Amino acid sequence: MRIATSTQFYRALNGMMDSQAQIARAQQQVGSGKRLLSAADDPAAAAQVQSIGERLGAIDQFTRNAELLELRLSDQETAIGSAVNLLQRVRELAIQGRNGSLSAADRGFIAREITQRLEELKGLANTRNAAGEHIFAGTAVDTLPFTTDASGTVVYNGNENVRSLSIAEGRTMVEAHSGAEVFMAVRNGNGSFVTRLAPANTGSGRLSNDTVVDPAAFLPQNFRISFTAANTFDVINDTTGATVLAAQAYTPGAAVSFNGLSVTLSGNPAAGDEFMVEPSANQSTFATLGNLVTTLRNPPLDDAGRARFNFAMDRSLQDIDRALEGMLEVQASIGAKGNALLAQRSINEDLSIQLSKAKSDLEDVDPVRAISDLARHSQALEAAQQAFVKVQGLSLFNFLR
Amino acid sequence: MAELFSVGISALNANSRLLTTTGHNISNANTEGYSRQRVTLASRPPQYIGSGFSGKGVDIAGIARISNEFLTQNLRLSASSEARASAFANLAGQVDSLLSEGSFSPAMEKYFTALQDVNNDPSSIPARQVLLGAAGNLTNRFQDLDARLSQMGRDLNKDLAAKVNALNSLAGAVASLNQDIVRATGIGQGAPANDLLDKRDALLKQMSQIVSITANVQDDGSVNVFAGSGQLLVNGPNTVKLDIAANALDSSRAEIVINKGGASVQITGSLTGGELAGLLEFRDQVLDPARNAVGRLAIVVADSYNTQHRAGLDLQGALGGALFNRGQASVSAAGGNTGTLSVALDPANLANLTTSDYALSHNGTDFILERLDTGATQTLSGAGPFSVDGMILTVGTAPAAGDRYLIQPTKFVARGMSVAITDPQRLAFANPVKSSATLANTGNAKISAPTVLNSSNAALQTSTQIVFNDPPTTYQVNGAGPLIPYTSGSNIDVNGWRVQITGAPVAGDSFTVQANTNGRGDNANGLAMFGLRSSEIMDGNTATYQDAFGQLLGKVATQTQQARISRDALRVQLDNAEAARDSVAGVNLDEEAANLVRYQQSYQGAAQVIASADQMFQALIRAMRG
Repeated sequence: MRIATSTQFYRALNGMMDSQAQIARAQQQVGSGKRLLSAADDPAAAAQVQSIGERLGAIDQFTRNAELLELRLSDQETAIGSAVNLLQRVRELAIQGRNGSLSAADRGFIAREITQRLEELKGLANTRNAAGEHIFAGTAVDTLPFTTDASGTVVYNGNENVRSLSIAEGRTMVEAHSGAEVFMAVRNGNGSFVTRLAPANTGSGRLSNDTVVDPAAFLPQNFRISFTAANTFDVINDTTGATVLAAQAYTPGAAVSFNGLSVTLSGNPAAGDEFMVEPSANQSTFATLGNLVTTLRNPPLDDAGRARFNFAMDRSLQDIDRALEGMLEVQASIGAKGNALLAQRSINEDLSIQLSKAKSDLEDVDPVRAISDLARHSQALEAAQQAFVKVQGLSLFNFLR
Repeated sequence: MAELFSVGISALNANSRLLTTTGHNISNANTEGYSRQRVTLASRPPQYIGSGFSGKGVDIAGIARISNEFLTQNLRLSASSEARASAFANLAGQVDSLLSEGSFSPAMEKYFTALQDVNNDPSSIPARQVLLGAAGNLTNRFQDLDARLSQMGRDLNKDLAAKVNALNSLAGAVASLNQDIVRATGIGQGAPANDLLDKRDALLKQMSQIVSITANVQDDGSVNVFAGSGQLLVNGPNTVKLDIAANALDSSRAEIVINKGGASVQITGSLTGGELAGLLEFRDQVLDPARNAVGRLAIVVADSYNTQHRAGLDLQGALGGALFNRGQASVSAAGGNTGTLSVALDPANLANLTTSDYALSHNGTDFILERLDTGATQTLSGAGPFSVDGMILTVGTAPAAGDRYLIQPTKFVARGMSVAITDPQRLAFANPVKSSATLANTGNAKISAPTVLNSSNAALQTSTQIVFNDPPTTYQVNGAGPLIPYTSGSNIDVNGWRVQITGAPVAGDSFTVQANTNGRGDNANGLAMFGLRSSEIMDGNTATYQDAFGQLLGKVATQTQQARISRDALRVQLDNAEAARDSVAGVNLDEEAANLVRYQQSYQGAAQVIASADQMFQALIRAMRG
């Protein structure tokens, strides 16, 4: 076939230009470490890289959130741990104070220490975190959550909302427990019901060993054990007005059962004495300690008073136990969250490693391949250049001299 | 003897012409579009001398231009296709690198990260400042992307004008060559004007790079040139001038027009091939859809965030307002419309928003809405307002038949995007309402945190009590109204909020939902705002923001990749067409060198013939003297 000289020239030239373009590209790939120089190089991979990049960014953020969450959980855990120690000390003091051989002055000292502890507990409940937020105020973080009002009652000024943080795609975790939950909404009595002596009782009868024996039969209603004579009593349901048990013979130390619950009556009740069995209500831990102080400061003067004192001390111990139970529950919940968080973080880390690898496989250049490409294209260029010189030297005019 | 002189001179002349033509070929070996020339020789008619015919030498029959019209046309066609693909690929590559640059996705990520940081510490002013900065950066990216795409649109308009000018001047040059060729052919009594023809072919090739043309050669040697699907550009010595004019309904689009009887007629659609077609296809298939996609993303980000932000409470205790500002949907009415129309975007219907523009016309009874990217039409009957594809079309003045509108819901939105808030306190991250159980409750029922269903309910933050009756199988709202049966965990919707109560309440237990005063650490609405990141609220609820951007990137990347592949293939095709034409018409220097040697020898031979004739003459003279 006939070939025009210009065709020969341009073919050789195009060969060199192509090689040069390939070299420039390979060089850019080696320099940047990226296989994809623009999305058009591999549209499918580029779209994937973009979406993986987005997920990786989110995982980084989730990890940071999880770290922060751990910090905040541990803030509460520390404060609650101190509160638990404090309540255990108060419990010891209460047992000490219940001792009948103590003088009024001794009980006064104990009451004073418990008053100190009460203030200390309030301080713990008003703890701030590193960011200056009150950790037990719910989301009202700038509000001092626990203050004492004019009547001497500790009131809660925070709210019951708690903040959540995102720790994984579509997963949030509550970062805290509100002060209302930890310190205010503590069930008194045994958690299901509470017993009370009528203020007008003249006998030394009291109640103890209160338990729910049949949870299915238990109804949260008000009952009254009313002594019609010193050795006879009725059990009346005050909510419905019905008499549940009529004219029961009183045996000191015997259990009385009704409404799925059982209480033990002891002492010497007088005719007309009444004992209330009511559903448990919320009582703040501060009120529990306050009641204890009040009891200790009013020493018993007679048998009825001693019965009332002992009963009140038992009640306080019971309430302290409820408060401790509640706090241990919160601690357990924080522990469980910590574990879940740890698991989630390790999932996040695994995912992050996996995604980074997938992203790198898609967009990063294989250095060995890139460098060998570069060498290959350089060789091709050299060959094209040599061919050009050779072919361009082949002119008949060279021989016409 | 005189004959020998005459034969020798004819040979000298012929070989000298051969040498000159070879020289001409060598001189033009590198001239673009040059076709090699060959001198055709013919022996002179012989003379009868009784014993036979005696030769009288050689004549130059003509100088021919070696070319092949089919190969030349094929080259023009290939040049058109290659120029089209090349222009498209180059421009698409610009959009591809603009989107791959990776400035948008990180801006979006930074925004979400900053949002999360505020969620982690909602009362922190510095974190809120950072979020405002990140939101501003995001809106800047939107504006920047939009500005660069619209700049490309303006550059493209200038490019169109430049190409049309070049085409006009090439057409002028072809027309004037037509005249020269007709004249030269006349002077040469039908002999082809070789070099003028080459020049014209080169001009036609340049024209075909701008737009696909057909050239019809007339009997007088002139050529008529048509562009695309039959638009006359050159008619013998006359030309038809193309011009550029702004689109009547979208002034940002330049259109190609001709002047017909004093009126501009738009011919943009009838042009195919060449750089012009590449530019126009790029505008229709890449640039405008990309700009619309960016606009749509801006709308969805702005409107979804505004809706969620309004459902929150800021640090000053007020309900949130708009978080982002954005541009509005555009509607352009044709001159002479009777009716009026306004178009708004529907924040409740973001998922149906498309990246297309729409043409709306009225046929006397109904509106016909055409979606321009798919060509799908639908009839809108009645007085409206019409809710279509995330838009609300509201008719003002009643329309008449022939009314036309161009609706561009997304094109001009991104450039108006900005952050509507400057005070970090006004970022509304908190739940506007909070719920609580009354401390004196004896039941174990718990109330969930409220979620906002309708932030525009006037009574949203009004303190509301849910009180359980005796027996606690029913409850009342605020102690009045109907007794509502209680099911643990079912939704309780009042005043635009929703809560669930779970567990066993006791008669008289009550729960309160009220304004979330002091909830400075609350992030419930912030979490909902962060949740939008992974919500599939675009494209018929199939795509998140990032998905939508990924789709745009993927689409442009695929278009660019395909354009590059076809450009490379067409370039090879063009090279082959060029080589094929040159294999016939191009100059081969070795061939010319060989010819040079051959013709030189013939010339020397002819000179020897003259010398022989001279010797014969001298011999005769000597004999006469002797």
